[in-house]
Amino acid sequence: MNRFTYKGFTLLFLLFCQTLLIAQEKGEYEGPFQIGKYTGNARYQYYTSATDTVLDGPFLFQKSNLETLLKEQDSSFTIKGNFIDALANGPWQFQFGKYTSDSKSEVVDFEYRILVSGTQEMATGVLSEGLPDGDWHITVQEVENSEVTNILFKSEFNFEKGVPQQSFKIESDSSALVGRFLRNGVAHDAWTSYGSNALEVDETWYFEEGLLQKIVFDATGEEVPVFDMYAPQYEMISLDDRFLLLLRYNLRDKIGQGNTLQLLSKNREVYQKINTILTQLGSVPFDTNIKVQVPVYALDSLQKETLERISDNLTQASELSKTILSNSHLNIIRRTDTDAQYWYSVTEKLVSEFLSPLESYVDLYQNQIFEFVNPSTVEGRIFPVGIPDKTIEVQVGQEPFQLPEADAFNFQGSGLQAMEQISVYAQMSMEYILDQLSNKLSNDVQIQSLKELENDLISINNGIEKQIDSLSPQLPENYANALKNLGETANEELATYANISNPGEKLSFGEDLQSCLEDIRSLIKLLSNFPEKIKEIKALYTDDIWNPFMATVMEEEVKKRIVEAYRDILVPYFVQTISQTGECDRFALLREQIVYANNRMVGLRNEETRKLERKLKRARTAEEILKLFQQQIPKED
Amino acid sequence: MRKGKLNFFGCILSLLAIVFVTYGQESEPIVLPENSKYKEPVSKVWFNTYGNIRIGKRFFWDAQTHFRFEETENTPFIGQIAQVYNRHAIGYIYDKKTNFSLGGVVRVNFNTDEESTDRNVVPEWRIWHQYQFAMPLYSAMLYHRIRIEHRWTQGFAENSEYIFRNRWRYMFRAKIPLNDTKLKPKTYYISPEAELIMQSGKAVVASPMEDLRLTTTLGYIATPRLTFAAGLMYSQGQDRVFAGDYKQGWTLRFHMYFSPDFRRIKNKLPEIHMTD
Repeated sequence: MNRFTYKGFTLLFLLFCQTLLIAQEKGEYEGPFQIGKYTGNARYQYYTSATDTVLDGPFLFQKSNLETLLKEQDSSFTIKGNFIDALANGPWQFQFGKYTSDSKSEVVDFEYRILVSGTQEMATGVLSEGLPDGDWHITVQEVENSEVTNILFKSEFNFEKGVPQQSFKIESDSSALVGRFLRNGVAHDAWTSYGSNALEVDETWYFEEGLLQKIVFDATGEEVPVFDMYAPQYEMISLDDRFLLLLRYNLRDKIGQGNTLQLLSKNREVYQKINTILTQLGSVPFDTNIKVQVPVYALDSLQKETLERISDNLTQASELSKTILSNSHLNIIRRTDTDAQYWYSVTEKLVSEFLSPLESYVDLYQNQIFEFVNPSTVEGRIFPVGIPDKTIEVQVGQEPFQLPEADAFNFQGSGLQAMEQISVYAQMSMEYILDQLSNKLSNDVQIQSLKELENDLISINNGIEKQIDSLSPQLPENYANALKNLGETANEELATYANISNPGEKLSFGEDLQSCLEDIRSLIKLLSNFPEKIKEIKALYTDDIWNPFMATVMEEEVKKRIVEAYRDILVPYFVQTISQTGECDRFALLREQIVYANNRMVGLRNEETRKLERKLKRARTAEEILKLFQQQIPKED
Repeated sequence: MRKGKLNFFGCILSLLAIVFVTYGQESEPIVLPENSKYKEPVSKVWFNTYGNIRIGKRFFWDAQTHFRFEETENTPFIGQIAQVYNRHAIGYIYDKKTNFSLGGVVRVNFNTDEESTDRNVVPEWRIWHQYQFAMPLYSAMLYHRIRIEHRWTQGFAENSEYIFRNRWRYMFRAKIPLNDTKLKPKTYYISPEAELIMQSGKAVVASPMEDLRLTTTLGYIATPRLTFAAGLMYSQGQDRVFAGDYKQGWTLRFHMYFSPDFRRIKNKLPEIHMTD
């Protein structure tokens, strides 16, 4: 009996072996690949888990093109590393080159070598679970005839599990920066930058546990305090774009003196480049992770709402100012028309005194650094010559401009509220001015516009007639009827337009008609394309299935219910509706629905649609189907 | 994939090693008659299901369950259940025209001799491997199938010992579409087939030809994943003990072939093009 047990176990064991093999089945891809703007050839290993392709194993992605190199310039790159369970792991190398060649070549051993010139960017280091670990070196070199002639940029960091350690060094061809961190990656102590001769100290940044307290410029001996040391609250943030912007704001004109900021910005740029690639491949963000402290002047929700409103007012006011200042007709008549000139000048003044300062105010908010800016000094910074006056002086001898309801505004008082008042005042003033100018802008412009419009209308209508004539004979009768209806509607609308005598009315009607005719034109295209589209969709929803019993490949229609809903309900509905509708508004809607349905049919092919198919069984009308299509939400991958 | 292949062949090797472990077997007296004798044909009805379930890019699970009826004294023609047959394997798709399988069979044999007082049910065990090749010919497809089975059987008598035998099977089959030029959905096809089953082993002394099966089936491909077929088979083969006796049979066969693929759409990508 023992013998049989042994046999039984062997059999089980063998079956088990096979099952294990299947579970670990790993795919390998080799072929064209794209990450963001980089396209080239990739070779990588992956496995699939649920719905995801998970990178696992060696990864290589590269591009170089000899032909473009010889012709003009080639942008090549090589990205090489390893993934474990979707996270970058192990040694990685990134290389980006931009080369030209003057077609000089050398023969070395059995190889032809073509000498290139340009720049090469190279980053190397180890990643551990996606985070930099150990030394990371990034260099940008200038290459001439295949020899490095100059190092344009060089950055050296040392990480432990993503946290920068000890010290770093960033160099450009004319300066160098050295700094250090605490164990947790917080900037600390002096960060010193050196000038071109490497011995001469250029500037020194003094950090205290991440807080940048002062900058000393060695050339002038000037000491510039940076952040408030007695702020009520501090926050630890990454040394990222926000911090760099905040520094630019705080340092203002002092910024040009040293090189530290440029070096940090450039370093951020090269790290971002790698970050973009790694995150798009599914790994975690890649960054230097330097931590710095900044003072926080927290905003409550009301203050945030106010800021949002200021931002809206500014956007509207800026739009209006652009309308006025860029109107070519106004630009011509203001030379002779003093009134026009007056309003033009008021607008210019409003832009320089109100809008431009407000813009830098709103920028702080939009860049998410408003809370790090000391509120007691911000207005002074934005309006260096003081809060603007409600009365705007234009020219000596002319009456200054003031909004009629100016008295209702109060520019004094606490910061944000005053700013909101200023923004509302600016916006209302712009509206007022536009109103004053409107009759000057209109008459001449209207006549010119009408002429252009009519030309457009006629050419579109001619196009429509030609399309209908050529398409109708090839299409089934119900299609031809729909086309006929579209053509008749276009003609009727044109007749209505011709009967309008008031130029203002004519213009607005004509503008609507133009978009209506455009809709008709695209409906004709969409309609006549249906037979072809149905074929396309049928092909799209046909799978090649390999039948193991026959050892042949057979075609299988998949998601039949979706295809039937489209072919048997949606398309006939569209054709029918088009042949019965004579209203322009409906045309626009129909066009949107058709484009939507067509696109959705392509999208649904690869989505999980079991639920939708079940619901479609009960759907009888086009409205129900379109609604179901909208409800089906693609699963996030 | 390379590693996969190695392991696959490794398994076959170890299997072969097991096969050559032999058994002590009591010898039986064998008396050969002057002339061979053909017995009266027996009628049988088989209901067979064939599942081919895709579980990976190149692997499938071969799952077959057959219900075989055989005529008895009291119930002629359809008879009573004779065997329930479970054949399973893991198959490997080498390319679109070639595949291999390795697996096991558990067959439950029912005693159809109504007079017998022996056990009613005994199990039978097999390890099997199969090599199948398809060849297109005009609109038809031709198939060659080599199937090797290592089989442990026992009689219905109480405490009967297992007998070990190897079976060597070769089948040639054609599938010829009738109402189309291709084997595709909504097509009827006719399928003549011939299979020779030879056997060897200590217990096989003078009866190497176990069975010769000649079948013709009419099939209908309902969808790419579902096919039905029915046919008639004539078979003949030597009695294992009395090698001079030839058994004969007429079998009605009903088949259902299904090949679902439960993998999610994403896992089926990138699409394999195999070698074409």
